[in-house]
Amino acid sequence: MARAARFAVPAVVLAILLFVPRFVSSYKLLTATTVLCLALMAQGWNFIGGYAGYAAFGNVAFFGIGAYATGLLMLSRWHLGFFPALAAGAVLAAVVAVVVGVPVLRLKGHYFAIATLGVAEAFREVAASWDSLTEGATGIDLPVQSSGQFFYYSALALVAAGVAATALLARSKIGAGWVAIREDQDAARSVGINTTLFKVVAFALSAVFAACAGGITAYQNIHVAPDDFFKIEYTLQMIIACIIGGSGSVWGPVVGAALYQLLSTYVWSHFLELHPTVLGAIVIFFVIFLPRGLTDLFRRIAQGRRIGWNVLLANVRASRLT
Amino acid sequence: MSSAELSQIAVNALLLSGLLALVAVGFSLVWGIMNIVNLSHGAFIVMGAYLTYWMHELLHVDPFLSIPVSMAVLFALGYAVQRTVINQIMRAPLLATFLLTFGLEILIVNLLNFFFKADTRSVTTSYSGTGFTLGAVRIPYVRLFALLVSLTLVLLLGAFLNRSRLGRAIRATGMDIDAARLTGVQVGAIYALTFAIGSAFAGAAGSLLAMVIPFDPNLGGGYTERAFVICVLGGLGNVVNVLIGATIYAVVDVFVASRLPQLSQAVTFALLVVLLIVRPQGIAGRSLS
Amino acid sequence: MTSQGASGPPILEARGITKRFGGLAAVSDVDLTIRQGEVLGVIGPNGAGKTTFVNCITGLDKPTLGQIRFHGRDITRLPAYAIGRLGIARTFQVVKPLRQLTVTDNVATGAMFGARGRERTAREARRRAEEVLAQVGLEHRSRTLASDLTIPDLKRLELAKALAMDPELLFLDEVMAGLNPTEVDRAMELLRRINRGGVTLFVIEHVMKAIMGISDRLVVLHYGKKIAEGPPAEIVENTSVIEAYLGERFARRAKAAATGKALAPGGEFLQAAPPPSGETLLDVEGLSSGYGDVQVLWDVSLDVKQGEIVALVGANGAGKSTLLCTLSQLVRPRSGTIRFAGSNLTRARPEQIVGAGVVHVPQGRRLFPGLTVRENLLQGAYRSRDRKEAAEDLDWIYGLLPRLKERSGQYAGRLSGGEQQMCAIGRGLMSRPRLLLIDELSLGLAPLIVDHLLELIAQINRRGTTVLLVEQDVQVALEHAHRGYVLETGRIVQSSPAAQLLQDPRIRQAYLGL
Repeated sequence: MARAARFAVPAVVLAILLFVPRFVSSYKLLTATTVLCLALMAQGWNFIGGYAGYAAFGNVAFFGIGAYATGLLMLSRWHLGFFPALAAGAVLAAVVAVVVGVPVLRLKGHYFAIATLGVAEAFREVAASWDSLTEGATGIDLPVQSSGQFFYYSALALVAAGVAATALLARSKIGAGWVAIREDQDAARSVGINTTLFKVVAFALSAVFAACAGGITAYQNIHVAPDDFFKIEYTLQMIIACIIGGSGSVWGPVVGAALYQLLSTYVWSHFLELHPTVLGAIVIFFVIFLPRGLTDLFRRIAQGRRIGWNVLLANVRASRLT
Repeated sequence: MSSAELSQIAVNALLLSGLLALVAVGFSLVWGIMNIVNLSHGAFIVMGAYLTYWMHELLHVDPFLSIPVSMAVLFALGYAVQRTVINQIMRAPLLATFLLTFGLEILIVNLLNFFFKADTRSVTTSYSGTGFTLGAVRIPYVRLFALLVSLTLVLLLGAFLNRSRLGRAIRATGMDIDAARLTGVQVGAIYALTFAIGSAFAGAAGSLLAMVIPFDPNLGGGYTERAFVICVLGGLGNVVNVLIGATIYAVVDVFVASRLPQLSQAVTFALLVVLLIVRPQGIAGRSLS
Repeated sequence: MTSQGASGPPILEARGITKRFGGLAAVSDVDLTIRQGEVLGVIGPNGAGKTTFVNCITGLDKPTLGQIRFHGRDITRLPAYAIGRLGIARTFQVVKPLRQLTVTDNVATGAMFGARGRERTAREARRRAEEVLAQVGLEHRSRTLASDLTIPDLKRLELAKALAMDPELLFLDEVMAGLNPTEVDRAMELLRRINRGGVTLFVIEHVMKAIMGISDRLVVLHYGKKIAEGPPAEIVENTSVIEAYLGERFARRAKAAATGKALAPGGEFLQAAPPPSGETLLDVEGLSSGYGDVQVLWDVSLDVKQGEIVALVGANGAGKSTLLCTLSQLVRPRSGTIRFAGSNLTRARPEQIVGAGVVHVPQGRRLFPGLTVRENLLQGAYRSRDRKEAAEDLDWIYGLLPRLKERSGQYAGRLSGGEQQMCAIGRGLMSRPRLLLIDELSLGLAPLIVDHLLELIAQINRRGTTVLLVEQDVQVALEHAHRGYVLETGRIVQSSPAAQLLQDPRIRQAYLGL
């Protein structure tokens, strides 16, 4: 596609999204903001799980850190404004990611996944028991901000920035380094890539995005408690969004988040109690038939290739036990 | 803490370790042979618990006698799952099976919640509260028998793997799948058998747990985690490693729970991470060369 | 052959390098000096520690003992990426392309991360990549995805990635494996060009013609120790080298290859026994197969008669192993037919092949390392559910191979190379084969052991088992077979009685270097 065309579609989409608040109810606006926060988390996960190939299962830890940091700083005696608090929360999350990441990123595959899971659980427990700081299990209450549009536009701005950042990084040396690490770490090291540094950067970036999402959600929700903000469901959602949308691509997380929310809302209204069952089935479906997500499917369509059952069966043919 | 309390804690740890070994042995088999970290293991455990519960509630079957039934049912289910679903992505990147079993866990647990609601249940029989006292320590009969049954099943599995033709085929396939094919092994069926055995043992563990603690559909996740930790502690490779891992875990768990109950998860996982970094093959496992 | 060659100043000094894995020393007290501008060749049987040594120098692994200095600077404990940036590059024996990227992007990754202080932007790296691609002859494939390349092109890509780093010292690990003779010549020329351009080369190779032809100096590793060092002509005469692994026949052959002389015909080739006349047991017509996009076998037809020993020879990468794997259905045939004792096995599954009586002893033995010798053998009898029968067969194997009985309780992973090969053959025999397919019998084994194993094969054959033997070492194979087929780049090019093949000058030229 021509260079101009590549910017045209996103620009149109952005323009549409800018006008959304005018036309929807405040409840739908809340949902839209939730989608944007999920997109943020998914974009962050995309760096470590998609590009670098290290499937982290504990990024909700950073979501929670961002939520608590934002809340506590706003409530503190300095009475920080929302944006400075959010920024500080993001920085804190990045620092934690570096400290945790350096040892944990040496682990591979399953071990890394479970270790990060453990880290998230550990943070939940710490938040629940550090009463003096976090009010323990009861949680904290942020100042009230009633403008739904405020949250919507903040989230939208960050998602847009995220898309730009992902696009830039993907074609930069860092992106090339991540892909090399994902393909073959030994080859990457031999070619001069400081794999530890690159992995930690990806992990820290994922933390920043998750923390921003956490801060916005915290402010919007007003109440922040450990079981709500460190729950594994958030990690599930960001990973599923990337699976559906396609990890390792610029638009995958955003498309995935939108689709996930669509499915969620539809399933919620029709199968309320079986909502997770459908979700589980969707995960299974995508892992087996569309592991590269929908953006890969769209790319094939854009390249003019015909889509038939072959596309769905291709992965099974390539991956099944012979 | 008094010596009486200490002794009780020690005995509790001992009684628990056998059951934990049973929880972990199926998980370890599937991981060791097929390199699948089965996140739905907990869901199979819970299904076993429900089977035992309903057989007791509706058919008045003694829970210990329901174990073979729950094992058989979950064997069949596990065989079907591996043969039809998981075998389709065995050659995909490692995390595909991880994510797939992840989805399976969500699916199964939610179905259980839907059909059985989230009420906690437990299986109480006429002999449930009884036990005997040894010095300062009380030993409930149910827990003692659960320990014996667990150890028996674990050792039976070990014997099966080491002495039978199929057990040898399973081990061989786990070491070199192509070489196994060349000896005439039908690997699709062997993988299905392996997963089926893992599921059956998960079911047995669930049946025993139903007698020992109150359970609900969400119980499984915690046991998958425990199974994982036990495998890391003991190392993959054989049944003895699982027993060692389970014992270490039980001891650490019981002690941490008594000292720092609110941070037990955090402490456990911190130790786990340190262990993985320092000695990835586990405390008992053979060095990876 | 050489430029300033072996007389430049030393740029890398390795002293006392030892690498232990658990109790086993893969590399043992090796001293090595690499001089500027030279081509240093390293040879040694599989498992001699050559790749491990390279891993230690390039930082992918750390030596247990010893020190490495590059231009006087101690680099022993430096991380791999830092060593890469100092100007030391390497290729991998099993190529590691970035499959999802194009060829240009692959090479650009090599150019990006600043070898010798020359950091490049992504765009500069792509430009440098195009230069390097032209150098290695891959420019016509610049937009192809790495996953779609053929083996020779993948090897060139691997080389290009390393060259793009502007290395001063380049470690090449078996770059010629899988290339046909013409491709080997081209590769040799390319390496000479790279060397003349100022890059010092450290070359691990099995293709003797190539390494003798381009090296200024040779180093020989055996069981992790350095057993000889010197110019190629001397090495081939060195008694310890000859005794340890070359074998007298081989040494003479290599020397002839190095000096380009033709060896006088005749000599001590054994006369193979006249082929027995029997029914055709295995009938292969027009067989084609391959891996992914790469087709390896092209329209192969051959037959094996009851009671014969047929040798299948050909250079590295000719497709010999692929042929056996296709017969045993580890690789699916794409076209053609396979008939065995009247049944059509073209679409059979691997376990059905074993059931029909065709048993494949794979390359590299592929024993089950965590099973004991006894369990490995019993696993060979998997298809028989009759315990008694399996026990009887086991006793027969122990009678045939008493060494295995001695070692029956040991883990197969701990046996020596020769014992492992014995165990692998034993495991194959436990499956009661009518046709035994043996892949690379002699790989990494000392000549004495190979002779012993071949006597064993002859014994089995006399008892009625038909054998199809794939062998790198042409001489060894043809001396012990009734008939031979020659496979070259996936096609059968010759088929005759073994004795005839041995005398055929074309064969000698291509494969014996005579």
